Amino acid sequence: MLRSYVVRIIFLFGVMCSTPSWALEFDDGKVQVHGFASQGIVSSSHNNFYGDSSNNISFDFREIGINASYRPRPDLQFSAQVIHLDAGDVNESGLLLDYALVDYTISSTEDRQVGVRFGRVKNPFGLYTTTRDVAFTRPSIVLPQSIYFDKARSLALSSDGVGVYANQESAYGAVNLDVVVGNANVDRGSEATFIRRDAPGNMESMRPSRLMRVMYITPNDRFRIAFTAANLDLKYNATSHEFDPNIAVHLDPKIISAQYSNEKWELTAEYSQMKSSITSLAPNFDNVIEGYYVQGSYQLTPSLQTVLRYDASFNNKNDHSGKKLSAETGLPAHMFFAKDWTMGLRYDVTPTFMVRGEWHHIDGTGWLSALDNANPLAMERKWDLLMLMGSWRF
Amino acid sequence: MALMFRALILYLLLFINGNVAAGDDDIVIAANQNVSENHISRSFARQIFSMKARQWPDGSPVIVFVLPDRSAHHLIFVKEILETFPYKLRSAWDRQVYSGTGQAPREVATTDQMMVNIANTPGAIGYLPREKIDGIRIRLVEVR
Repeated sequence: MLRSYVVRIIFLFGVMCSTPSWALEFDDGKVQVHGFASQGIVSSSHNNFYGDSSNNISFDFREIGINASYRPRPDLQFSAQVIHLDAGDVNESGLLLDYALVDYTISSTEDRQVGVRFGRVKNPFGLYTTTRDVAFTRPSIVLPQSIYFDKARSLALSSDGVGVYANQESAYGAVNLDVVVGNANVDRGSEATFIRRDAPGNMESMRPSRLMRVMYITPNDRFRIAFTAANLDLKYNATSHEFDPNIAVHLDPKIISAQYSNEKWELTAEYSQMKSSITSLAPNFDNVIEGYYVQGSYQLTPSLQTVLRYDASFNNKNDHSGKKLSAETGLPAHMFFAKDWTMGLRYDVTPTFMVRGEWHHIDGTGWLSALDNANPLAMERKWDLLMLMGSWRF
Repeated sequence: MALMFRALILYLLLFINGNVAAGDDDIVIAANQNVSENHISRSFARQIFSMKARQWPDGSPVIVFVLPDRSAHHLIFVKEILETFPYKLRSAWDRQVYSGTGQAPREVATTDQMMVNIANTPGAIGYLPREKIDGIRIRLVEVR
């Protein structure tokens, strides 16, 4: 019943949007309104991802967003986006203000743009973070979890503060620089990742986080390489006496990204190390999380694309098997790593409507959320995940 | 299911139609008569069409017009003039539109609409088959 309802909605979207361009423009294009809506279907052989997916079919995976931008002058833009996400028990329910900012271009010439942004600014973390909730901009239904972990998605997502950007073009290629300083937004999923449950208090930024990304693009626009580094300091605000009130988390992720794009195929790889220090009344906990993926996509026809990816993440760079962490915590070793083979197919039914399917074969449960999997001992080390998604945008 | 299948076939036919519209036309960059540039660099053209450069050197706004991603003219223009691929442009637009850092170009359905919009919009830039450039209301901008 529910399934046919979802299929019908997706189909309706597709019919509605068979016209190529559906963007809303006002005031000679100075005001633009865009949006997206995606519905996913998730099923897994064991373990829950995005809802009760284990030996079951979960429809608990939706991403809806709408944004507006206003550019009264070529050097000034106001924009904001509101999103509604539903991904099992991990995300906050209700509407979230994804970004709300003023972008001012300080200088713009034929080979250089420099500007500044104020407000809630998206963090340019790796290649995909800034638009991670927009299915059309992702290479697959779920992003590689080694770098873009969904269980703590908001950590790297946006900052309330200031962003500075610069783009310099030359005969040797282009260099883009982005710097963001501001308070990171922390959600329930991120909180549960560090204290393994959704406790009564909440986590918040202890002081402004700092993020920097520098990217080089070759003159032929085929190859890009980027380095991202950030520092985040979070603290836990207990509202009751039941939990250690002095917990503080320091994270310093670093990512190297590379992408080669050709007409029919694209090869992408990213490698990340994140030092995490958790200080509390209990013994301090220092750790380096490591992750990487290699991904290839190929355009079979103008509307059909395949993707293949190997994605690996390790909660401790020196303990890939998870045995040491298992001995220290009493939790199963497979909770400290995940190695994920993904195969996917994307069919662009129209330019504004697409359907996607993908299959994951995963060894390890490292990136599963404690909110969806309350009992660690009930998790299985090796599992399969099948996902389908319909996505529409304008 | 049969309905869905028929709808799919219909979509496919629409695409094929869109793709046979143009042959080996010589596509050039076209701009409104008030644009003073006679030629621009390839990197500036790419920045303009990827919506990163929003001002002409004199500071006036650049208004970008494009045809649908899958139109033959768009494909020729992006590959031969900008020397990149339509999906790269699309992802540059999407990254800006959905992160609040930029806007999408204005999409028109046909070359006739492209002509009307370029002729009537100060600061406008787009692309057209060479024979559609009248040199009066629509100027040619060369890429060097």
